[in-house]
Amino acid sequence: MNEIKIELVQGYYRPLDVITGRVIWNLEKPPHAIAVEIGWFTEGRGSTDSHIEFDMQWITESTSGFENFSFQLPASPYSFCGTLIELIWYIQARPKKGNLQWRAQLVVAPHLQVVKL
Amino acid sequence: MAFTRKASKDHSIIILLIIGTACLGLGSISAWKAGIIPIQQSLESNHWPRVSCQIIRSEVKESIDENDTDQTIVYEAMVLSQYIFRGHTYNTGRYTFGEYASSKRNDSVKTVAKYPLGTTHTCFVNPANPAEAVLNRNIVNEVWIFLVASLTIAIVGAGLLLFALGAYPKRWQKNSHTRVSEASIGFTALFPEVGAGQQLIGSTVLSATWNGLLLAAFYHVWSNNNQAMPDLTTLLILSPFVLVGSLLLFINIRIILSSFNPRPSLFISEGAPRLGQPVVIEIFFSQRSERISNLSLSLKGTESAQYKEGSNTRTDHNVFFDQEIFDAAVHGSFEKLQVSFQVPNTSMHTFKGKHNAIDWSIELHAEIRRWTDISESYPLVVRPLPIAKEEDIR
Repeated sequence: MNEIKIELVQGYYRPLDVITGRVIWNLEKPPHAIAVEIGWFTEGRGSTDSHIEFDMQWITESTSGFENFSFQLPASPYSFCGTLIELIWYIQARPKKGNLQWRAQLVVAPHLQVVKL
Repeated sequence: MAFTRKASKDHSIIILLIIGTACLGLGSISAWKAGIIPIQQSLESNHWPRVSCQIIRSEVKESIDENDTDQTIVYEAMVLSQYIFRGHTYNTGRYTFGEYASSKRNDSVKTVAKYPLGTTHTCFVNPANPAEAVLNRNIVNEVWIFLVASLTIAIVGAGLLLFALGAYPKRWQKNSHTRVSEASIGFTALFPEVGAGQQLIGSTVLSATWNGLLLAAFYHVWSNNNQAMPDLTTLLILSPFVLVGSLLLFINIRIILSSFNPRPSLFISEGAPRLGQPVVIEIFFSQRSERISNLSLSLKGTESAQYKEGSNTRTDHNVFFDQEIFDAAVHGSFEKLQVSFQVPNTSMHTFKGKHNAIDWSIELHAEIRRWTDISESYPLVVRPLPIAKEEDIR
């Protein structure tokens, strides 16, 4: 088995909420490190803008294990969807060695829904 | 909820790599050969022995520059001197380190005048290679100029290469995102996106430049045509440019006329309102407000998306919110107007990315009787909602 994933309480957050989660891995080879990253990027007509708001690494050679993390979201930007632009928040986990990656979308908005323009 | 991001090739990176490599290579080679080597030789010549030499040829040579499509004539001082070193007779055509041909004849004439035919001067001979000698071992100005120019080209090339390879330190790279500040500004003045002065100067310069060049072209054609009207073909070629010039002139005249309009001044109770926050705008007009027949204000939200299309960069805009917040006929003069509004709390705050943006603005339009109307756009920064407690969320 070769997998990595993140367990979250929920996928919807308000600005300044604290994201609490656990990254769990079960890999075939020692990873050297496990990294978790939270950020956002834009999609749509325009070229992509992106920003990493949080990233954390645990140095480890264990092929299986878990680590807890928590991170306070910033006050902006919100997840939004317009005619030309969409802003998507994401959370990602990956071992430093190898191409394995786990990613999921998050919603960060005051009403826990993507802001529709 | 797994997903992937799209990848895209950027051909501009390849072009930058080619240009950067060429500039760095050519600049470095030129700096070495025409700059560093003459300087190095000049420093080494401090230990060269002096001998007496006689000028046996001194003239200005003219030639056509083979690399120049305009067939420019270049001039070079040809100074040949003869000297005896360790019992052997040598001739040298080199009078200094770093000699160049130039399109300026005067420089070569001055050099030749310094070394007239038949005169005797002091030469400096390379003891390791007696066939090499110079009359003047100082570095001429051209060497320094060439060195600086070549190094500049090499540095620019290196910069382009670093940029193309993304090798700049991250702190030098422009942040992809400018986060909207959480700080309140309070009561403040609003300023239009493009000031009246900027519009006037810009349109006047553009119109004067375009129409000036057009007139010069027309005069050139007219004088070449024995001061007669140009033929139909020439007129047809010039006509699109005349149309553009006329349009620019029309716009310029409108802007000049609008400079006589009453000027609006806007003040807002909170310069960076939050989503859902009630704010008040106060509008004052300079003299002649009685000329305004109708005044309207609207709140506008716009998405902007910038992207590359081939070698061009385009920006698309979409107005996602346009709400009239004031619209009324005006009778007589007035001192001040107050307008209240709020940005909906379900909308999006101001967002500034490198390529994408969400912008808010107050649009003012005032109709002037029998004159050009006033249209101004006042950018507005909208902050996110205040963080409310759980029970306040609807």
